[in-house]
Amino acid sequence: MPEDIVLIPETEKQYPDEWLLFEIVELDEQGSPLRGRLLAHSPDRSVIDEMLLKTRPTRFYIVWTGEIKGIFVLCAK
Amino acid sequence: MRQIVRVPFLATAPLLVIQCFVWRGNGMGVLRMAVDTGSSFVIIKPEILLTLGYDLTVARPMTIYGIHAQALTAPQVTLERFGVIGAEEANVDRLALSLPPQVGLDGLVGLSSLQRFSLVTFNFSDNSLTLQR
Repeated sequence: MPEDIVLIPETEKQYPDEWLLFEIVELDEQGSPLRGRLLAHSPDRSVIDEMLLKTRPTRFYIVWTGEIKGIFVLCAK
Repeated sequence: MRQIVRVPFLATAPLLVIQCFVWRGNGMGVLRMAVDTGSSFVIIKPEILLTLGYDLTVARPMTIYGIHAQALTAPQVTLERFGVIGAEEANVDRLALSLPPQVGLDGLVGLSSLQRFSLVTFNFSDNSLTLQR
């Protein structure tokens, strides 16, 4: 396995409370991202968006490793 | 034969979070989104759609209202494919709109997606969503 390819679930644990952007190399049997390249990590989402638009990976996975917050209600006119 | 797909919740509090996929050609984005029956539409962060090559400049504008009754306009984009594994949909309209980054998610799965199924079951005993066509 090339050095820059990591196990995605393990890597998520190494970066608590950050946004992570991976280029997906392999999915698991359930279709979840398994192996990939970590392209960016930051608590600031704009860093991830900049890297996403700069590198435009063909298959990518974005995840926030911290607490999920918020309640939303949207309706259409 | 009826198709039944079970989708595990990645979180159940304070939102119901599932893993969703959006495709265009060979491109694919894997995102975490909240299931929100209070939302009329599916919304996805614009940067995700731009990266996959969707053109938001030709998208149709849609007016939406949030809990503060403040109107927002968001582009409505037709996606080649969207969904969860086993329950994908083709040529579906979605809104390109960002959630606040503090939320930690890239979109909402609203009624426009859930209504495509005949039965949607929230199972909190095994933390899953069951979609039946």
